This record gives sequence, structure tokens and C-alpha cells, in this order.
Amino acid sequence: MLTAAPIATRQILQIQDLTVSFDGFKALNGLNFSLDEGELRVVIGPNGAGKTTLLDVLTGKVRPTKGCVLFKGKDLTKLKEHQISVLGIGRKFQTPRIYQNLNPRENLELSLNPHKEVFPTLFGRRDLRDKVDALLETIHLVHKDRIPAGLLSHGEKQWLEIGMVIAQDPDLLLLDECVAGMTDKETEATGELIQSLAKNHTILVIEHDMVFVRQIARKVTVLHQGALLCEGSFEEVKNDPRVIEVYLGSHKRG
Amino acid sequence: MKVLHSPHTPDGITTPAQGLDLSPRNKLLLEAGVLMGVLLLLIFVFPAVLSGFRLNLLGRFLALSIVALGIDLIWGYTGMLSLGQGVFFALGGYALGMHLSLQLPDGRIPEFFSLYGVTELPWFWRPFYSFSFTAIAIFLIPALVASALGYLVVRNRIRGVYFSILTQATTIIFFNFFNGQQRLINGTNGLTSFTTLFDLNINSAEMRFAIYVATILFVALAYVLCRYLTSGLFGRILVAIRDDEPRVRFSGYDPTGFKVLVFAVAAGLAGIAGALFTLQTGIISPNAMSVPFSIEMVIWVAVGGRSSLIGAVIGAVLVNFAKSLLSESFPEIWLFFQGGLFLLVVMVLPDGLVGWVRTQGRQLWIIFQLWRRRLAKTSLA
Ligand SMILES: Nc1ncnc2c1ncn2[C@@H]1O[C@H](COP(=O)(O)OP(=O)(O)O)[C@@H](O)[C@H]1O
Ligand SMILES: [Mg+2]
Repeated sequence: MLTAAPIATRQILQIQDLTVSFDGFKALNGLNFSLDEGELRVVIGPNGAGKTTLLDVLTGKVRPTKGCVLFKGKDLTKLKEHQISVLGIGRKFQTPRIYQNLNPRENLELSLNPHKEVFPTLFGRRDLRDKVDALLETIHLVHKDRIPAGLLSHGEKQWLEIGMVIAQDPDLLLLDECVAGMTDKETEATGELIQSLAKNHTILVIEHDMVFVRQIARKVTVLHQGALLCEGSFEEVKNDPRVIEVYLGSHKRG
Repeated sequence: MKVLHSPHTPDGITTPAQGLDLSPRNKLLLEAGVLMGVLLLLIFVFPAVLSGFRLNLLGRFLALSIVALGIDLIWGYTGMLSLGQGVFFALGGYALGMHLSLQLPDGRIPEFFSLYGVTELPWFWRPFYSFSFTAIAIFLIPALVASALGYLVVRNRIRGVYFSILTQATTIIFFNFFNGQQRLINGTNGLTSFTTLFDLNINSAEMRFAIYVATILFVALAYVLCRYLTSGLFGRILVAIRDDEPRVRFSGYDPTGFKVLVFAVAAGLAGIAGALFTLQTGIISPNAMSVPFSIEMVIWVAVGGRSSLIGAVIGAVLVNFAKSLLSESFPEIWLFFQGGLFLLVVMVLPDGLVGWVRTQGRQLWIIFQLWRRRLAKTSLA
């Protein structure tokens, strides 16, 4: 392991030689990847590159076939989903997954609850009201806090789920295509939100929308066929011939 | 899984569309008031107006509504459709049934044992001489069985249809086992001919009334317990598990404990219901563990409305009254009627009677408001 860089930027996440195969098909193929603490990283790549699968591994949904995943020095491949969540990884899914029959307030309370075992949840006293109010403010849902979340617009659902992830107060936020289906205005506001969250969180954003990537990106990683294609600033990556090739080749919008 | 259940919020949560803008505290007070009113009605008014026969039926059906409350807790709120509640119901029934059968002078054992040449009470029945032990066993044994079964099933992430099938298979196993045990529990015939409890004749009018009142109190207790579990954060998590269990894991919760706990509670309630039912019908047999009976229980809840706890109680009482009325006059059509009822509910009233009343009520309320506003406008003009 690399040590003793004088300006100690600790790595919060280290992935080595990660392979995930589904019936022989390698969705991830020998991926090496790491994140510094406090970093905001954008991962792009054509459809099917393995971006979502990467998040599945990081949240315990999928067990890797091979490889090693360390988060804050702990091996994630041995932990269950809820243990990983409690350890400090929060995820926003590609298609919003909120609790449709609960209202935004209840959705947030559920995520905010600091003690997630059965009996503390049942008998514990907690006052989360102020925190919920503040979060509702952040995600612009104050006026819709008491309608079933299933009735929110697509963009609002995306926001609510981002709010739920923030509520978990994770050290690492994983955001999978969180501006999909948002209006331009909503997208821009989301960008601002992510920028402000980046001040005290490590964030991994998976994105398709290049305008959005330009807005938030500091460092971009390109995945292709389950492996790392290249890494660098937005401009570097955009002009990299391999990236252009991959994106044109797959006929997909970046 | 992404289906939005219509107004499927747990009881007592204000939604603005409801119009009645009471604070949560006042809503709770209102609910407590209504509950008290219903209790008083059941205890003081019904006995005066119903015949002894109907009152006895009402008592039985109220006992059944306790199982229904448990089913609503695990199915309506948590999404676990158990087709095996009859097992827990029967376990409670057998526990009390044996205690009643053991109301004998020293040294004598229930008569049926002698039919099979058993001369000494099997050891595991001995503690059932004690009422305190029996009272605890009635809910604890079903709850423990459910915990063990639930833990094995839930931990292995078996849910949905597979959970239902497994609970049904359990029912079949228990049914066959109990039917085959003549020497221990009188097999197919079950336990019957009870006469005394606390040295009192259980068939006297006073005792019957006391049992009726006790049943009502247990329904109230069961309601309050389920209400407590389904409101607040714990209840929200149950709903979240029902709607998207994998997501709950990513929110940091392990659903296993939550599901096992409510499954055990529902089983405990089923046990209590079984005991109270046995007390009022005078018999407990393996029939209580038959597959159709467990399915019927689910139908009660579906008819009443799994969107609410009240719905479970109403469904159990109404469906059973319909059953007794219909089968008094036309015994052969009841089964068709029941099947039709279930189809009707599934297709026309997916949220049951209470769900229907709620949505209709809300619409009527809105119409009423509009009408009032218009009236105010015209009177101003
Ligand atoms: N559970 C699964 N079973 C089989 N194949 C899968 C599964 N999950 C993902 N894949 C495949 O792995 C590849 C990568 O998928 P994904 O990670 O979703 O890509 P991306 O998010 O980059 O578009 C795709 O070809 C997809 O079909
Ligand atoms: Mg994806």
C-alpha cells in the first residue's frame, strides 16, 4: 500500500482487481479504483459499462467473484447491506427508490433514526423534527411533506432519495444518475447541492448528462466493459481519443 | 412491488386531503373515545338487545377478530401473507382446552386417555393443571414456534409467495401430526366436554357473560397493541418493509428482527384468539389447523380492509355473521358465497370495506366543502 505522502490525503475506498461475473459475463473485469477522503468523483461510461454493478458491490447487493474492496480499511465483501450502510455508505439508486406509501417526512425520519435495531426503534425516544425540517428545506419539499411520496413528481422523488441518503449521514455518498428525468433547473440545483455536500463528504457520482458532469466534475473516471479506461480532469477525459471512440462506438450520448 | 396502495397510511395519520384538521394528540383522544364508546356499547347494550344465542356468536367472532388483527399486522402492514395462522390459533386453543380438561379430582385424567390405554398423564401436559402456566402458554408457545419458524424463513430471505407457501406447508404438517396423536391429544376428535374453570360452571349464564366481556377486553388490548406497533417509526418501517424490503437494508436496517417480532406477536394473538374461541365453542380439534380455515382468516381481513386495524375486526365479525346466517338457511351455498365475496373484494374493493368507506368518505367530504363554499358565495351575493 502507498504510504507516507506528506500531505496526508487518506484513501477512504480502495478497490483492487475487482471482477463480478454473471453466468460467465464479466460486468466488472479486473477493476482498480480508489477514492481519497473528501473527494468528489464522477464516473462515466457507456451503458452496460458496469457503473451500477460497481455500486452494487460497494453496498453489498452483489458479491464479487474476485477482488478486494476496502472501505475505511474494512473489507466490504464480508458485510451485509445494512452493516455497510451503518458503516457509512449511503446510496441513491438509479431509478428512485423511496417508500411510496410514506410521506417525505416519514421517509426522512426512517433514514435519520440513529439506532436501527428493533428495540431501540420501538421504544427509543428521539426528536428528529428539527433535522427533518432542515432536510426538507434542503431538498425543497417543505410544502409537500405530508403527501404520500408515491405522488411526487419524478424529479421530486430523486430529491427525496438524495435527502434520505444525506439523512443517513454517510461518509461516502453514492449517487447513481441522480439527475435523470429532472428539468434543467432541477439539474442545476442538484449540482449546487452536490457541490455543497462535497464540502464535508466523499461523493461518488455516476452520470450520463455531460453538461451536468461539467458542472460538478473535478476528477472523472471512465469505465468501459467493466474496467478502467482512463481518469483525469473533465477536459482531459473529453478529449481522450479512447473515450471518444468508446462513446461514438456505442452510439450513446455521453 | 412499486404499486401504490391507495390511502394506505397506517391508521390515525393525518393527510391534508382528509379535511378534518385535528392535531395528532386530539386524533388520538378522539380514537380512544370512540374505542371506549364501542366497548361500552358491546358490554352494556348488545347483551340487552341480542338473544343469548346471537350474543354467544358475537363473542366467538370477536375472539376471531383477534387473529384477524394479527394477520393485519403481518400482512396488511408488513407484507407477510401467512397462510398458517390456524396453527397458532389451535396451539392456544389446545393449551386452554387441556387446562379445562384437567379440571378433575386428584389422580384422575381426562376420559379419552383410557380409550387408548393411557393411564398416566403425559409429562408435558402436567404443567397445564396450573392456570397461570396455561395463561402464559396460550400466547407464549405460539409466539415461540412462530419466532423459530419465522427466523429460519426470514433470515434466508424467503418472502412473498414463497413465505405463504411455506406457512401453508407448516399448517399441513401440524394438521397431520395433531390428527395422528390419539394417545396424547385425542387425535381427530380433539378436546371437548369442558365444564369448569376456576371451579365455576362455564355454561352458566353469568360465566358466559364474563367470558364475553373478557373477550371484548382482549380485543381492545390486541387493538391497542397493534395500534402501538403500527404507529410511530416502528410502524413506518413495517410499511417500508412491505413496500420495498431490499431498500430497507440500504437504509441501515436489518428487516429480520422486525419481521420475526411481528410474526411472533401475530402468533401470540392467534393463540389468545384460539383460547377464547375454544372457551366459547367448547371444543378444539385439529380442524382449527386445516388449510381452509387459515385461508378464511385472510379473507376476513381482506374483506374488512387490510388498510386498517379496524377493518380486520369488522371483517372478521361481518364475514362470520354472514356465514352463520347463510349456513343456517342454505348450508350448501356458503362456500360459493365466500369464494364470490373474496373475488368481489379483490376486484372491486382492493382496500376492503374500510378502505372503500375512507375514499368515499373523503370524496363526500370534499363535495360537501365545495357545496358549502358555493352556498356561502350565493348568500353573499
Ligand atoms: N444481476 C445481473 N445479472 C446478469 N447480468 C447483469 C446483472 N446486473 C448487471 N448485469 C449486466 O452487467 C452489465 C453492466 O451493467 P450495469 O452495471 O448496470 O451498467 P451501467 O450501470 O454502467 O449501465 C450489463 O451488461 C448488464 O446487463
Ligand atoms: Mg446504471
